[in-house]
Amino acid sequence: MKRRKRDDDIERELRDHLDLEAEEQREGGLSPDDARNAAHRAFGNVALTLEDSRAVWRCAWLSSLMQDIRFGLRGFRKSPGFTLTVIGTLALGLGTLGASFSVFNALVLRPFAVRDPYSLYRFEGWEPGRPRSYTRREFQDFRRENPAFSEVVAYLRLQASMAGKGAHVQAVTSNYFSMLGGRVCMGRPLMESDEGPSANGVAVASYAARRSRLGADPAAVGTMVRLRGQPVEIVGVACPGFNGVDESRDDFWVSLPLIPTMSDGTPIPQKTASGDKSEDKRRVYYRMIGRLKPGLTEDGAKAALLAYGRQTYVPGPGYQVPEGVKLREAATIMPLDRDTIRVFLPEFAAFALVLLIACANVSNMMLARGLARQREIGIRISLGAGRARMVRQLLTESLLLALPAALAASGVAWGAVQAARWLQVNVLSASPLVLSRDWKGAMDWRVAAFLTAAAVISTVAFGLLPALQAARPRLIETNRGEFAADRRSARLRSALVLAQVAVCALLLIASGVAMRAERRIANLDLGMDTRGVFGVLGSNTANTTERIRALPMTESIGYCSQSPLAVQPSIFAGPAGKFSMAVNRVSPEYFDILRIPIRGRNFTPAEGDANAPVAIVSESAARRLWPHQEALGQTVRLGNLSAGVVIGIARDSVSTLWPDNGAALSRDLVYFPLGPKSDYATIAIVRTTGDPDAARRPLERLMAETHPNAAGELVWTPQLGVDLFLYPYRALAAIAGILGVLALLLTVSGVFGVSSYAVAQRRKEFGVRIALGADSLRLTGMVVGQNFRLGVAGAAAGALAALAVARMLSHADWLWRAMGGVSMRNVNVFDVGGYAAGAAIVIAAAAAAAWVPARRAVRVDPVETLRCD
Amino acid sequence: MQDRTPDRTELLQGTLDMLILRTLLLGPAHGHQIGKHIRQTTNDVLQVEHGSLYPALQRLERKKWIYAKWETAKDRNREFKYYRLTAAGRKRLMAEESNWKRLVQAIACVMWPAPEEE
Repeated sequence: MKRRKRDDDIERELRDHLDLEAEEQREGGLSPDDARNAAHRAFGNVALTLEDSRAVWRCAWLSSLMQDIRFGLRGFRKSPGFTLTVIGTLALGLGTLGASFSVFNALVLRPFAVRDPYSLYRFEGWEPGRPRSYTRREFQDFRRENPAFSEVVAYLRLQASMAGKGAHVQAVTSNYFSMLGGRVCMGRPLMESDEGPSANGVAVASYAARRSRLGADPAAVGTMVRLRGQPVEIVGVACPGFNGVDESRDDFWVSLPLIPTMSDGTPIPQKTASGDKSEDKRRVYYRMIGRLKPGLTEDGAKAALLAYGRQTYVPGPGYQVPEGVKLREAATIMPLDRDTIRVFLPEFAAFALVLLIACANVSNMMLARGLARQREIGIRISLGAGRARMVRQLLTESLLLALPAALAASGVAWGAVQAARWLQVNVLSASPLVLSRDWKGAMDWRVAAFLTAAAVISTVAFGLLPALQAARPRLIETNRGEFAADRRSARLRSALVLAQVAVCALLLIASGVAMRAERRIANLDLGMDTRGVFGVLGSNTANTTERIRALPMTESIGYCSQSPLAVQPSIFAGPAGKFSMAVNRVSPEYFDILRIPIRGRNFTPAEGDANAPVAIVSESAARRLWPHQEALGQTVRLGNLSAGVVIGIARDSVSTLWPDNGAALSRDLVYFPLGPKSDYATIAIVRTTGDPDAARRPLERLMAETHPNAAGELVWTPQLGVDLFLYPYRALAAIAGILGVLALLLTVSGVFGVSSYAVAQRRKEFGVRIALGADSLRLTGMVVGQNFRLGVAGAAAGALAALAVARMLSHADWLWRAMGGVSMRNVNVFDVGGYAAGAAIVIAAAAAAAWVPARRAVRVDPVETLRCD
Repeated sequence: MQDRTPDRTELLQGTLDMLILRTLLLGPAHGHQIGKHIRQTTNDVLQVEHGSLYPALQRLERKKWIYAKWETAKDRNREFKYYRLTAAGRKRLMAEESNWKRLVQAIACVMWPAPEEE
């Protein structure tokens, strides 16, 4: 009310002034009208003065901001189509980037929900390579005398089956909960007394596990469960937020002394110190996390630990004097350091390109709208609005679009993460690592802040250009009603759309390359048929073999020392120097089960039982060992390990899908015979008939029966290995494909918008052309041709950019390794087919986007347009 | 459009404030009178754009250096908004005046230096 009165006051005062001035001028002899005009001339801009005088009393920018907001909202209400398109476009671009950021956030930025996470460091042992195994005593000394850590927690991740389902079990020292500040909502945490030699097995369940594994039992505390067949009492349930400090989800925390008993039956052969199983001599691999002593830096801790290590560990067989310390931040799953950023940056850049395309669209839309609003802006400027004020108005409008866009984008990002999870599970046969952490909480305030900032930056950056364009005061033209698009904004628009097409071409080429690589790898001939084949661990104990053979769906059973597709080559000394060769010991049934044909003859069961000096080599091994010679009948000698007369040549099959150092897949294999009772016969392979999924269950039941204490899954399929091998390629192709499709959609809509606008601008010209007899084919060709040229130029620029990126990537070995085992040998970054496909799609899309505008141009009525002005 | 570069407004603002305060030292006046007085006493050298007076008046009023009241003019039957100097305004005027004097003297020293003594 007070403000209203003051505003009125000022207005009245100004009126008084003008009256008095006019009066004086009249007295000076002017006519009343001239006097009024003179008074106004002397006064200057009345509206502006009024505005300035009022502004003195207000927080000026706030009130004008409110005005701008009100005005902007009114404008949006009037053109809902424009508003929704802009918000939708931005939300799509931002949401995709947000999804990738939320993954980054979950892995790198969000600390574990523990007390003071940033003072926690993983101790990963000494350099060079002293193994991280300790006896209990050694560990306790390390913990007590530690010069760098105020407290150390040790833990060990185990897979345990519980009531037929796998559970993530973390065996931890008793200070785990107190050190990490993990609160327990029911019962008690683990305690010192749980570590004693006579202590019973106790466990704390995670809040999620209580719900999913203990049936949300309100009396969960005190329940006995069996983990790996061991009776364990649940003594507590952790509070909802707490889930340890590991990349995987934790279901149960058990006290460390359970390890010896729980490790029995572990399929991984454990080298225990000379058969001495007394607890104190047994070496266990621990993972360790320490809390840095107050005031100590990472480097200081390293130095202190190194000094300790040098003093404590005398060099002995297998040990060297420590020369360095491996220490890593443990606040997040991945530490935020140079390597991590290097890995995430390219991926992030690819997502950001999609946003860039979306922003170019938005910019073009704003530009077109800005031109359409020239009359309005011209009028406001004539009425005394400053140019700065107009720019501010347009910027305010940009921000008004940014906030709902950010909101919508967080929805898109959430949806994208959910969709990605679904894809991982159902389509891509997911990598267990990526799945293990719970992604439901991937959205948090960091993602929200990121999205808001990105939205504001992109709208301001891409709204500012059009705003500056539109607010250039051209009073005379605008008031005359001439809004011919000036050349500058036309140039800006075509630059934007060209950049857009180029970026789209780049992304499409990338997805073309990735998808073709994935196809090639999926069609890779492994040389064996793994469908319906199971690997079974521990079947050579008791009479398991006989029971598996007796199962109705078992077709045949054989043995091998190493799993098919996972036979790592070893280095041997030969007459012509050192060479690497993969060696597997297999029973005669092996080749039949995996459908590997043999030239010559197979092993006989007798040869298998007797470890006879015979061998079967793969075709490529034969070629390498005896080039240009018949291999049959030769003697293969691999170091002093084994030797044998070659009796058969097996068709090539891939030795391992994971060669060291990302080397090319090798098919060099030498097989020696093996009998079921051999010490090497650790793995049984079983071929089954019928549905593989149905065949799996009886096998699993049987193994669970015979191995109640088994550590993890005893039954697996080699096909799982194939899926894991393919997964990163599939994921890469899927991500690249999705980005490519998004880029294409956005680009087509952008090109469509710009060429529609251009046609609308040139209505008059088309009218004249039609009047002069241009036929529709010619006009269509003109409009489409223009876009075709745009597409070609964009595709060329995109292809050049792709080549530059490819050059960079072909040297970035570390990046490929970081991408979950994608070997750059399997992805041809210069794949011509991929480039051609990407470029062709862009050109076709650009030309196609001109079709509707071209039809519109053809249908221009010459009479009407020429009458227009 | 008027060319209103910020530099010039700022320069005007400071001096204009002082001139207004000095004018009001003579007694209450309304906006038109203030402007006229400044013009006449400077022999029309200082051509204050009439409009620019009013934001300045609002500013001074907000700072409580002057206060305003609607009063009927003596010579006619009409109300005008009369401004008066407050105690704070008087103090402010003194401060500005001495500042101004120093500034003028300093400028004078540069522009017309005293002849050097031999």
